[in-house]
Amino acid sequence: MIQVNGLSKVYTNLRRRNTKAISNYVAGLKEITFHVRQGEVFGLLGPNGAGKTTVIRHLMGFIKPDSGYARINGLDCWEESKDVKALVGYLPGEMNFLREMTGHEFLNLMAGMHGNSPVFRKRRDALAERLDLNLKQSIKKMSKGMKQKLGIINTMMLDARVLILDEPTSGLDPLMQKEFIELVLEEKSRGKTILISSHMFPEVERTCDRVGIIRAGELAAVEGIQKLRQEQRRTFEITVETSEQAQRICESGLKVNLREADQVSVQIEGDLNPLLRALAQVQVKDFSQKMTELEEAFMVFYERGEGSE
Amino acid sequence: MKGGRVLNKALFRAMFKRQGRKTCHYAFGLSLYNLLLIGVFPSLSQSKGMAKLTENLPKLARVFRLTSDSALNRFESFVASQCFGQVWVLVMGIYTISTANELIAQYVAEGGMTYLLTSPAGRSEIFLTQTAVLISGLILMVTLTELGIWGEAKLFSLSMDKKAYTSLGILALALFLNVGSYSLLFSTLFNNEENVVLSAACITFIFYALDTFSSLDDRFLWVRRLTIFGWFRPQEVLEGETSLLPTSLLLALSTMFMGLAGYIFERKDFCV
Repeated sequence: MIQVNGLSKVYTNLRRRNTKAISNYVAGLKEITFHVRQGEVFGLLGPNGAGKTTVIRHLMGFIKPDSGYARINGLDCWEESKDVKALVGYLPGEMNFLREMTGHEFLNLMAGMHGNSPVFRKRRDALAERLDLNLKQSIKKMSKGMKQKLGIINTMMLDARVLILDEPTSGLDPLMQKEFIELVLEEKSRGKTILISSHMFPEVERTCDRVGIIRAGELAAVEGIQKLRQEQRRTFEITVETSEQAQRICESGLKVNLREADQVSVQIEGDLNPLLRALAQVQVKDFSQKMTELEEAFMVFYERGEGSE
Repeated sequence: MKGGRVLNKALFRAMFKRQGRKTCHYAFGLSLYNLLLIGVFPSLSQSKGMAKLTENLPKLARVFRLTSDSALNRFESFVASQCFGQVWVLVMGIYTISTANELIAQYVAEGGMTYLLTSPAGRSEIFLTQTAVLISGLILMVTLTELGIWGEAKLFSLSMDKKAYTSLGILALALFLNVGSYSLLFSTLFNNEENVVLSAACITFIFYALDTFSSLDDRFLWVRRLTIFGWFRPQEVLEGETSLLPTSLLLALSTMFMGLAGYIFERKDFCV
């Protein structure tokens, strides 16, 4: 459904004004290739400034690629952007709405610009109730979270075949984040193709079938969530009673880094039992897992990318 | 479904609602100003001092857009120099430049353009709709100004030639359509609002200054050909010297600028 092939972009103003910077890092995108199948949820994962939004801008036909192409349902996102947009519901990363409108007026405008189907109103009202948003309120007076909800309603009410969501849960409280994830899963069950860009691992982990990891404008890897989980490398931070006990863990044959005299960091791939056996011989003061599993897998890919440079 | 559409109805309605309010405020302010001016006309027209002033200072009169053989004691001359004079040009200039900026560059800078561009309306439809909002605003401004003058003339029992006033309205519209068209061009060219306003205001000011300069002496009359304000002579139009050439030239220039702005809007990268 979504095809991105050899997509490259260098931002012109950077090229003109800061030639030194362009020789040091890629501004924009470098030969990005991935595809998203019909009915699949694809996550675009990467730190801020990695190029996630630039990929999305290409998909939305906001910018023209220097080379390569982005297609949705076989339509070129730049040349045939009008037809592409009839298929897509888009949630921007920044919630900058039109000023001096109420939520209701804004949604009416967007519905009108999308052809004013009766289903829009029905979905709009249902979503507003579900997300608990008063649409009569002026957008100027809305908080960041309320604006995010309005953006989500605008995207979902259009009942588009493809959803492109840029940092969808930023600004939402945990309860609403959960609600949003459920919404995405419902849309997925209805056969929608969804692309989510994010740096929030739980939402990607819970919703996506595959993940593309992007760094410095390059796609480091595209992997299934299951594969990422299989690669899980977990890191534990352990504080023990004495430095001797920390030394004993270091000598246990595990992959250990001595952080401080009484603190170690242990990396485990697969079976946890060797770690538990080593810990049975010491007095543990503090024990924590450093990151979530997916975050760890992400770091593995990320480090691989850096190593290959 | 939406293939052949030129304007987007929903967008036009929303934009015009926003701009319409502002337009009415501007036009109301201008009407109040004109009411004050026209209110003093009967006493001013009988003032011998004023007639002497324009006779003794012909150059000053020309700077105020009066031909030397006319004076402020004729209603047409008075309306041309005062109601369509510096203040009106200044207010219309501010209105036109700010509206052109708000319709494109402000939405790009603030991010609101993202939502318009995500619709299947297409860039040309969005641009033409925003242009139509600007043109409608200008028509409303000129119409309300003329209606205001007409109403105020009735109030003070002054007669006026409706045909000449209509011709002047069309010429004024063409003039500010031109200002609007290059402001729209800057609005599509720059993503920064300051650049848009500064560029459009500078060009408008230079055009106006050239026109004023050309009025200082007969030797500088040729300078008038270099500025769009040189084609806008309200007093000549109100006195029946109607020529379609200035209006046609201004409309042709406006079409050219708008075409160029539309082309840039269609092909531009929007990092919104």
